[in-house]
Parts: sequence; C-alpha cells; structure tokens
Amino acid sequence: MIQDARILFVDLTMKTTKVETIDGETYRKYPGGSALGMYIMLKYMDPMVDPLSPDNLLIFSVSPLTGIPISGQSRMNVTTKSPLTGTAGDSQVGGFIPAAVKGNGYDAIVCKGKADSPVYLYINKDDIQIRDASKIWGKVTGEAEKLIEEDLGDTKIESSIIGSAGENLVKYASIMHMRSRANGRNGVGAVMGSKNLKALVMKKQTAVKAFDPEKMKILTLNVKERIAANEVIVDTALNGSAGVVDAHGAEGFFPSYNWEKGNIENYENISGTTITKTILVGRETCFGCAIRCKGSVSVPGKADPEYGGPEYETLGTFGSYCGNTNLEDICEANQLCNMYGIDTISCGATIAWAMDCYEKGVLTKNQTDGLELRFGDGSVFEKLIKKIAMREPGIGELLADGSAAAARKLGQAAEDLVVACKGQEWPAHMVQMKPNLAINYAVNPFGADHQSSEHDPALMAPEDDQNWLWPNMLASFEKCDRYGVLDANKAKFALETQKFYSMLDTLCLCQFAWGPAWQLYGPKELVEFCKYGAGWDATIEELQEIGERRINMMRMFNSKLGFTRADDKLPIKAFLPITYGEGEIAQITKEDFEKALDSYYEMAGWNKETGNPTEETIIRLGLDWIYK
Amino acid sequence: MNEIKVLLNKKEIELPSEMTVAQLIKEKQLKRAAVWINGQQLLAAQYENWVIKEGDNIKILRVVAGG
Repeated sequence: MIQDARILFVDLTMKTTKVETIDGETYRKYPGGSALGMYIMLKYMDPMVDPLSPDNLLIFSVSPLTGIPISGQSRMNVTTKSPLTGTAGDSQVGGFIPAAVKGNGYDAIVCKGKADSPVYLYINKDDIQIRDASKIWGKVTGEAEKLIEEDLGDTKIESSIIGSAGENLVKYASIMHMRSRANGRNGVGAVMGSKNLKALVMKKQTAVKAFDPEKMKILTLNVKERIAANEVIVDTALNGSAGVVDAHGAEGFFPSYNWEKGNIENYENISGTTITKTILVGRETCFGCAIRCKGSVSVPGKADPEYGGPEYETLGTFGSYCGNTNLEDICEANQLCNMYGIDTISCGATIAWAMDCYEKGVLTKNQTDGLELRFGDGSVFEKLIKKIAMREPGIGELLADGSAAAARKLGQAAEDLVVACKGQEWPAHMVQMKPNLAINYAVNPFGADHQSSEHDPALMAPEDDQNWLWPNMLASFEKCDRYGVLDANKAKFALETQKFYSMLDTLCLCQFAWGPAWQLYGPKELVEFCKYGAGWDATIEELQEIGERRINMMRMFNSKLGFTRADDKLPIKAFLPITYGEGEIAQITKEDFEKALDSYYEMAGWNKETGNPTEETIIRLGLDWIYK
Repeated sequence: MNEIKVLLNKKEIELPSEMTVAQLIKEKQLKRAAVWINGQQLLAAQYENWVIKEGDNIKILRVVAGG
C-alpha cells in the first residue's frame, strides 16, 4: 500500500495555487520522482510546447521514501521538456531540499505559466507564497540565497536557485541547491528562468517518520560496518566521486582532448587523492546520509568552500576533456558554474569541443572574441564561463546553446567533433571501456547520461563479489573478461540495469548509496526499505517494471515529437580506437553497435525500425492512456 | 628476496616470489579488481592466499563504475 500523492500546482501567470491528490493505487505505478513527473507531464501538457514557453511544466518531485532517515534517500527530481535536447527532460539533485519538500507534505510541485516579473516560491506546509524576487534577480546563487533568507527573516529554509545562466536561458543552465548541489542536466535552469522563477524555497520541517521505525533499524543501525566493508564506498567517503579520476586515469580511460584519447599526462594532478591531500577542507552530506561524499575545497582567490568542490565529471570536462591538468583552474571553473548556475558537464564539454574546433581551424580567433582556445589552457575558463552565463554576443552566445547547436551553425567539420547524444554532451565514461554505455547514451530518452545504467566492469567482477551477484538478482548475465565488448549480453545488461536506475530516479534514491552492483545497499535491501519505510510490499520484479514504465513513458513522449531510432545514434568519436594500459587497444565498431541496438530494442519490446514501444509493450505496462 | 618473472597484462615484469594476488592488488593500489591467472578467473576469496608463480600469465582489470 502506498499513500496518496499530494501535488501542489502553481500557476505563475495567474498567481494561483491548488492541491490535488493522486490515489495510492495509481501512485504505485508512478511512485515519485521522474515517473511521477512524466505522468503529470503526459496528463497535463502537450509535448509539442516550446520548452522555454509558459506552457512548459517545471515539476519538482520526490517519492514515498524521501525524507525517511537513511543514507541516500534525499534526492529531488526535476521533470520538464528540455530546451537542450527537445525531449522529455530529467535531472536529480541531493542535499536537504528533497526531505524538506516531503516534510512540507508534498510529493510534487508543478509550476506552469510565467510570472510577469521575477518571483520566488516559498512554501511552509499550507502557507504558499509567490514572492517578489526583483531585487534577487541577477544575483549569483550564493548571494541570492542570503538575500532570500533576509527577505524571509529566516535561515531555517532550503532553497533551489537559478543564477544568471538560467535567467539568460543558457540551454544547459542548472538549478543550484546549497550552492554546490545541482539539478545539473538538460537545461532545467533555463526553463525556470523562462518562468521568471528565481527560486523554490522550502521551510525546514522535522524528518518524515518511517512506516515501521523499528524494522528500519535493520537497515540503518549497522551502517558504519556496512560502509567499512565496502572499499568503493570507503573511497567515496574519503575522496568523493573524484576518486574515479585515479582509476580511469591509471587505466587509460579518462576522456581527453575532446575524446581523442583515453589518457593524459599528469592526470594525478587532478585526482581525488591529490585533492584530498591538498585543497580539501571538508566533507558535507545530504539529509540522513552516512557516506558524506560531497567535498569542499579552498583555493585562495579562485575557489571558496561554500561552493563545494569539483566532482569527477567536472574534473573530466574542465580537466582531461580540455587537455588541462591545472587543478586550480578546474576549481575556479567549478565555482563559477555553481555561482552562475551552469551544468559543469555540458559547459566543460562544450568548451572542450570549442578548443578542438579552434585547434583544427574550424573556429577562428575572429569568432572567439580574440580568445585563444588551446587544449591545456584553463586560464580561458573564467572569461568563457562569464560570457556563456551572460549570453554575451560572440563566443558566449554561440556556446550558450551547447556544442551540438553551435556546431550546426559552423558546419560539418564542427559537427564531426561533437560528442553528444540528442544534443546532450557526454559524461566522462568511455564507451570503449564501458560499451553498454554506448547503448545507454544512444537510447536514453533525455540524452547521454552515465547514471542511467550500471557500468560494464560489474560483468568482470569475481563471482563471489557483490558487483557480480547483485546485477544477477535482476537478470542472468554472461561474464566478460575484456574491454571493448559490445554484444547481446551487454545490450541485456544495459536494459536490465537501466530499468533499475530508472526506478532509482523514480524513488529518488542516490545511486552512490543504492544500486545493483557496488553501492552501499542493493536490490534486497531496497525491497526491505519499501516495506519498512513506506509499508509497501514491493518485489524486485515490481520495482524493475516501475523503472521500465518510466523509460517507456519518456520514449512515448518523445515519439509524439517525432523521435525515432534515427535519433539513437552515436557521435563519430565513439568509434575511435583507444590505447590503454600497456599499449592495448579497445574499440567498438558501428556494426557491433547496430547489432546490439537491435538486441536491445527486441528485449525492450520496442519496434526495431521506429525505436518506439510496440502496442504490446504499451498495454503490458498500462500506458495505453498516453496515446488515447 | 628472490624474484619471479610473470606476464602482467601482457607485459613481462618481476615480482617478489611468494607474492599473493592480494599483495599485488594492494601494490597496484586497486580498490576492486578482477584477476585471471593463466586464463582462469579467481574468486575474490582466493586473492588473500593465492601465491603467484614463475611464468604466470596474469590479467588484472579494475572494477570501476560511476562518478
């Protein structure tokens, strides 16, 4: 049994609010987060809307598990139509605001329309206020946060705020929480900016009570021992996500020079262990989480701890992608992105693409406002990020729409250098090392995403390792003993673990704490959490189907916009041979990719020609209402 | 200390004799690793006591995921 969902609808044009409920039986099929967001979008919105028009919906959603004190449950999803990809849009954030949304009694907050002047939304349970933000508009996220506290005369609040990038409709603008946590991807901040909505502000509330607090202790009381027994989580607690630089750098799969290579000299300069030893000043947490992976760094004059520190992806995009191993420049770029509210993945990757264009003569000094965009020179980040955030005419305006859109203006030579799927720049995980991500990046309904399926090395793990045992609780997989293998087994792995991650994004669970391989808690514990946390007798099969339903809803949304298999394609650089280790080569071929894609569609119940769900699949998942 | 010659990821190297797989993984600073000796994959439980021998063909891959 799941409680009814309570949805707050806010019309920013009319300045009205109303609360509606979704009955528990329906909510169980779309239990929070991304699935709930998609359910609302498909019920209430025409997919054809312009993403930056008042008709687009901006949906903040949590789940029946959010706010119950246990590691990894404080995540909030934003669903909208993405201005970056033109598809269903999706992004998650951690921190404390997810628990606050739930603590205030809401499962989703749906914003539509456009305020006639800048506003912010303040919610204290049933006290809902649309407040003037004209004096806050134009301020960076940290300053805006302080001004909101002053305006309310209250510091016991949680805020999600846009910066100048969102206000200026940069197509990969983020929504920032706590100055360092981001609903980063898909340009959700631009949608917020298009509505003249500067911030969502929640009054802090007491923690949500579990359905069975005593039984919950089975999962929570031994958390220290659970962490200590998991080397990956120990490393995550010590070095944060930045620890992945050490592994990818050493192995030779750290995407470098806009994806031309997998290795870069002196990657150690920007590794997690180097950060921990040199500039790390603290680790923060999200509500209820014992892992504490979020690092804060200090670089005098360049990076203030209040804006956190670079995650693995940022170290990749502003580091290796740009041929740059100057840690201070990366920290400065990270801070500027967090101040202006910009996705560090798309921003760093777009700059790396521009550097690649410049090095090859595709982009000239006349088009860069006189800036020399050379690989290895991180000193250009400061100027470039400000130009992008402000959409300054010239290189700022060009790059503010992302690499794919910019390349279309420059021509084929520039397009050949883009590394994106559906217009969203790739995260820093190489398909030559992790080939199932080739499938995932291509088919993912909202563009390339590294957190939408488990990564291939789990299939290499020893048979008594949880990395092997946990995925095999979802389906039966074959072993893999080398990089560069893309076959039907990988397609199955992509699909089945994609369902699991899709369900995690529905239940708003952190993928460092909950997952099907290396994480702190696995599939068995998740079933227990549903039962003891929400009184929901779920099974792994039901949870997998929830994840599958969400993916199919997104594909159906996209199909109404004309997206087909032709959009499930990879950039040229995906097929480059990569030299790793002691001179070995890893590579995937176009032929293997197309065969694996066929296998994926077949197993997913999608039409191989159109790439969209078959009628049988739609009916099986109870989604026939979408096409009616 | 005597040394033995082995192939590690196709490269010939020397290791101390009596070295275990667990010691090798620690020396290589790997967090989680998959190990094959002469084509046979070991269980994680075998790492601690599996002694590497002269002429062994060793393959080690990192088990590294997201971030």
